[in-house]
Amino acid sequence: MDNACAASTSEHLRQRHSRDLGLARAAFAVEDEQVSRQLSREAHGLLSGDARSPVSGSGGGYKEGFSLLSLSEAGHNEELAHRGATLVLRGAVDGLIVSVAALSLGDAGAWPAKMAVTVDVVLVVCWAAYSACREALENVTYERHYYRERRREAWGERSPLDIALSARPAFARHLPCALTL
Amino acid sequence: MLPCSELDNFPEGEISEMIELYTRKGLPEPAARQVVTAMATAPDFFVDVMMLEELKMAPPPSVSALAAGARVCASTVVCGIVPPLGAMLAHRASQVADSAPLEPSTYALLLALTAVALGYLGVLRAAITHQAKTRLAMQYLGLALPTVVLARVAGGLLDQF
Repeated sequence: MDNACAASTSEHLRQRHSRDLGLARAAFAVEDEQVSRQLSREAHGLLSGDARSPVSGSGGGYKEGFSLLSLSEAGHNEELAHRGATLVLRGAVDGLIVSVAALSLGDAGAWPAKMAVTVDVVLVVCWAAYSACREALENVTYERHYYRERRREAWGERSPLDIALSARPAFARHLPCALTL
Repeated sequence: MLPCSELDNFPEGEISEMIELYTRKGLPEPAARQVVTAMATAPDFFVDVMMLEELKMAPPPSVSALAAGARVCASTVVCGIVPPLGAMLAHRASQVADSAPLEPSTYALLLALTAVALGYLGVLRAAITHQAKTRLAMQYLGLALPTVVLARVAGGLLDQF
């Protein structure tokens, strides 16, 4: 790569770094293709140093809105990036649905109000405990799975497990790992 | 069961595998080789790319298992406890005995408030996923509908016994 090309690439990378994801999304949502392209280039900081576009002021659909999103740019998979908020939302929906189901059962069955409310609270607490355990277990299981696979794929950085495996006696080196671990 | 050779250093094999993968996706072989060889100079980054491209495995979420469980548990309890507590308060406010069923108006109010809360949660989710607020609010309301209908059918059947 010659110097001019390298300089051009680094300048492009510098410009890319100034990209505003919110504005880029708003640009994509604009129906007029010409305007959309123009706004997209502005959002990516390719046309001027000021990446603020007129979209938010011209009814283009972009709104700063939700404070969670204004904290940081999360990337393209917002649900994964805002995992904490997603979990809270999921739990809240579960709680409401379980609760309203139990109260509906009690109402249709003409249960005494006290009994319906008691059954509802017990069900919600049980469901919350189950959901918490399930979420934590899934988290641990995936993390272990991921890092095991990552260790298997890795070759440059040798993990303690790799070192231990390579230190196996010569007769065991051709055996499947499961037989020697 | 993994063959031991996969755990040993074998960069050439991994590079070939990635080149083959990119070639299958439509990248010309020389370009794929150039890209993969360049990425392989940063092993940590290359392993992350292999995890995504070969195994379709994203890095684990930054929220720990304990925190994830705690968030789900807390939000379920908080949002799940509000309707029955509200129902009990409304029931007592109408000065009806605890042994009597819920007043129809109390139950209707409860359903309406739950619907509003679910709609609001749908709007919050729309803000995270950049989708139409109305659509996601309706989706959450749609989740509640079969639950309420089935619960009412079951309650009606139980009442007949």
